[in-house]
Amino acid sequence: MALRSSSLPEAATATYEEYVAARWTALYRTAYLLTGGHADAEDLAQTTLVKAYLAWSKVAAAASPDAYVRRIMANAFLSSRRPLRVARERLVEETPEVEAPAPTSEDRLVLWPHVKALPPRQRAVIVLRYYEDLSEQQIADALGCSPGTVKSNASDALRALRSRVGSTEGDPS
Amino acid sequence: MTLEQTLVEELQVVADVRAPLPPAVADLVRIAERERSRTLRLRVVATGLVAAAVVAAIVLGSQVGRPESAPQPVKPSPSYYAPGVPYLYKDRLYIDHKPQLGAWMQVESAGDHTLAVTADQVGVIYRNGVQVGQTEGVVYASSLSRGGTMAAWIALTGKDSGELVVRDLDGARDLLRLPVDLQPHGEQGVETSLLVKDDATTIYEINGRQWTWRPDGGDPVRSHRQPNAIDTHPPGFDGVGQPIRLSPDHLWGAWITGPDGGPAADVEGAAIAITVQKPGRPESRFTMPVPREVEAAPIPSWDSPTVVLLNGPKTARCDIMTRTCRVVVLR
Repeated sequence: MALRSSSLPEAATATYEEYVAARWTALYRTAYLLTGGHADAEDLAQTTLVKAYLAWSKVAAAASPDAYVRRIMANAFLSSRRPLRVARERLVEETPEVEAPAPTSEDRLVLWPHVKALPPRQRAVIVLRYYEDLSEQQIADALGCSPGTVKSNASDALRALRSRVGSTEGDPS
Repeated sequence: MTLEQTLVEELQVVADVRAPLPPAVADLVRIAERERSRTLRLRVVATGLVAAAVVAAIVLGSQVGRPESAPQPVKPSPSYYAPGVPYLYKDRLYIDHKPQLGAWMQVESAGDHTLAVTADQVGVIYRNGVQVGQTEGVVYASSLSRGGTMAAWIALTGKDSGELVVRDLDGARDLLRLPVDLQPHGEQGVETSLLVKDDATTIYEINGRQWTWRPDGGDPVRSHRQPNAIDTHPPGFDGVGQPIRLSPDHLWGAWITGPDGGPAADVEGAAIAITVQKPGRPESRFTMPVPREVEAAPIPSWDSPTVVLLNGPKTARCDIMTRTCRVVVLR
């Protein structure tokens, strides 16, 4: 695809395009775990890619472009102090005949509803640790904090999850 | 199973969602460039903050008792999100979600450019949200090429005479300024329409007579091609009989079908859907059922590069990223 008004060299733009095509799904999935909603996930993933474009020379030169972009996403997620997408539409009273929500696999999950309720930083730690399978040091790099902070956030999050699950459905362990 | 193991398993299950189609890279680049220029503007504003405060104080003082001059509040997009694409809402033109002064009647965007027409029929050209040009005379018809590189308009410049202008937007020069006859045609007045292409070829119609002008020199020649018919049947949609509306970035086309993607049943109250496809890529085609309470409209419109609207007493808002439609009431 030919891009116009691009301030990147053509070769770099091509690399960026390839990255978007290759990593969109993965970025979207991580964004979905962080935000808990499709619309917000889409916004977060798109915001991440826009920021990645603006810093593409650094991303491309990084030892791990994925790690760099992950850091962008984490910062974008944590810096959004309001819902990423502000609903500006008002639904009518009648329920639309399409999109009747069918039971999903998420409905059967025990921990996920409580993960969604965690504070953003704790939730980011949980997602990066247990979904992305990152080490404490890697998570610290992504979040721009110390490994000790990651450790305490993870500990607080797990304690909260144990407590909430225990108080509602019993401890899964 | 430990809590940690359960977490790993559940996060894998949750993450196994179907991701929507990736955004168009051109859109990401456009948003990024706009963000970059906005950042630069903010830096300039920061350095001039003291001077701005003084000016603001003077302006505020002069506005006392003149509520009409008060700054307009920023209003939302008709549905909710139109990233960078100018839009009309209640006769007001919004660029970057900021209302422009005056009343407006039309806007179209492609590439870096936007061509908007005020309620008193003055055409205004924007490049990346910044005004770069304005038409002379009362605009009867206007067109922006699919790639946003060319604009053309027919404007009244005399009592019954006018001008066809074809402007190269990237080169910032007029390729054609052709006098045209705009004599009223019976009780219907003057009827005009036109279509300009990225190579500057311009097809126009005045009072039922069509002409084609090509940039290789020479005068316009009579044509039997309808500008409007071509506009609603762009190339890359073989076999589609319904009028097609291209997205603002021209990466998608949308048209009305039945729920199965075929022609909608010609029966009152029949179920309808919006089908979209990328030009020339039939494999990208998919259909989004429209809630039944939305009445059929002849042609959809685009609210943003990824959102199609089917306007009516009840409006359907169809998001091509989530491939779903819902009913909204526009504020």
